Amino acid sequence: MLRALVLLMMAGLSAAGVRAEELPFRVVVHPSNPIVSMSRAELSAIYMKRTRSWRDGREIVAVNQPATTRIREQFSRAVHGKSVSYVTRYWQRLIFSGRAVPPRELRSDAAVLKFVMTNSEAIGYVGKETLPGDGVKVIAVTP
Amino acid sequence: MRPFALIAVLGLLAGNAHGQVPEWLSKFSLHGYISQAYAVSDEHEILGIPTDGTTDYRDLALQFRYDQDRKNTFVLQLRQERMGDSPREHDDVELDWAFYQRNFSDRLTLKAGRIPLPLGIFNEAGGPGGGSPFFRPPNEFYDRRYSSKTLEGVLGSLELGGPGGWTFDVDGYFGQWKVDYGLEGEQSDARNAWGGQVWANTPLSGVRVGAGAYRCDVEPPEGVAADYVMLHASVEADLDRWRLASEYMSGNLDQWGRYRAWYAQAGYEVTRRVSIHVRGAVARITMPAGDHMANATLSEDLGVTVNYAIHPSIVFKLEGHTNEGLMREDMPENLYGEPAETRYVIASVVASF
Repeated sequence: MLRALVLLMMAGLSAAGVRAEELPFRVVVHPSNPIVSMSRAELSAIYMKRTRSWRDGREIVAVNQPATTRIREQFSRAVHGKSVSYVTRYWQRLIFSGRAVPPRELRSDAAVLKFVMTNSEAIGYVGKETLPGDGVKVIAVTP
Repeated sequence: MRPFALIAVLGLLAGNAHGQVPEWLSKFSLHGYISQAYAVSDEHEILGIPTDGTTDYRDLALQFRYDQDRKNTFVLQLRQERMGDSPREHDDVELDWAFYQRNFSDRLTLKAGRIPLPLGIFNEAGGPGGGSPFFRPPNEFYDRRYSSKTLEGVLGSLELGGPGGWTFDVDGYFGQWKVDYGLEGEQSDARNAWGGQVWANTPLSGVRVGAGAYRCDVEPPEGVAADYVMLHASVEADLDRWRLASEYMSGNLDQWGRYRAWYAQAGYEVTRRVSIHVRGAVARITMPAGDHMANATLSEDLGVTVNYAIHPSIVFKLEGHTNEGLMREDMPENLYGEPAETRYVIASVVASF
C-alpha cells in the first residue's frame, strides 16, 4: 500500500514536472517563497490581479514582459487562454476606470530574474531557454 | 491647452516607466490616451461633425495614480474632449477625476471625491482608452442629458465569489453630478443621486451580464425640478476573436416623459491586427404634447468600423455611420419635428499607455 502510494506520488511529481516543461516559459518566485506549484487558473488570477495576496497575506508583486514580445503572447495564450490584445483591453478598461493598474513590465528575462531575486513577494516568468540560476525558484505550473 | 499638451507629450515620452526606480517612485504610475480624429458629415451637422469636415475632434486624458500602500490610493485624471462644432462643447481641460480610494481588503474598496460613475460597459472607462472599437461609445446609451460620466460623492465596490466559477462585482454610490440640458451646452445639477450596479462574471471567461439603477433630482436652469429614475442592463462577451455587447436603458423623467435607449454591437477579429465591428443604436423619448404624450425617435444610428492595430495600444479606426433622427445641430432643436437622415465618417487613431 505504502509502495503504491509512493509510486503514485512520484508519478504525480513527474507529471507536474513534464507539464511545467511543456510550457515555453518558466515561472519564477523568490527562494523564500514556500510555494512550489500553482495552476494556470491561479496564475491567471494573479496576473489579472483578481488574486492579490500570497497565502501568508503578503502582497503579490507580479512582473510581466512587454506586450509585443513572443514570450508574452505565449504566456497569455497558455495562462489566460487569451490573446495579448484581449488582455490589453482588459487592462485598459481597469486603468481608465481608475480601478487598477496592470503588473509592471520589465524588458527582458534578465530584468525579471534580477527583480524576483531582490523582491521576496515577486513572481515573474522567463523563457524556457533562460537558465534561472540560484537566486530564484522555478515553480511548476499545473493545468 | 498648451500646458496640458506638454504634460501629455511628456507622459507619452515617459511611458509607464517600470525599471529600477526608487521605492516612492515605484508607487506612482502615469497613464493616458490620445484619440485624434478627422470627421465629416454629409447632410447635417451631428455630434459636432460639420459637413465641411473637422480635425478638431479628439479626446485625451492623462492619469496620475499614487498607490501609497495596499490600503490607500490617490487618483487624478485630466481630460480634454473636442467635439468639432458641437454646441455642447467643453473646450477647457477638465479635472475628470480626483479621488481617494481606501482598500479595506482585496475585495472591498471605498472611493471618495470626483469618481468615474459605474454605469454599463463604457461609462467608467470612457471610449478611446477603454477599448471601444468606435471613436466613442454609443451616444444614444451614454447621452449626457440622462447620465453623467462622473460622480461627486462616495462609491463602495465589493467583489464576491460565487459557485461554479461565477463572480460578482457590486457597486453602490451616493452623491451628485451634472447633466446636459438640451443641445445648447447648458447644464443642470443632479442632486441626491444614488444608485448601484451589479456585474455577474460567468464561468466563461470574458462573458458577463450586468444591471443597475439610479435616481437623482434634476434641477434645470429654469422650470421645475424632475425626479429621474433610470434602469439599465448590459451583456458583454469578449471571446478573443468575437466581441459582442448590448445594453438597454429605460428612464422615467418625471413630468418630462420617458427615455429609452439600446444598442447592439458585434465585432470579429479577422487577423491579429484587423477587426471589423458593426453597431446599431436607438434612442426614443415619450414626452408631453398638449393633452397627450408624443413619441419621438431621437436617433437611429447604424455604424460600421474597421480597426487596424499596429500595436496592442495603437489603433487606427475608420468608421461610417448613417443616422436618422432629431440630433442634427445645424438648426434649433425640435423634438416634435421631422427626423432627418445624415451620414458621417470618422477616421481616428488612438494611442494609450
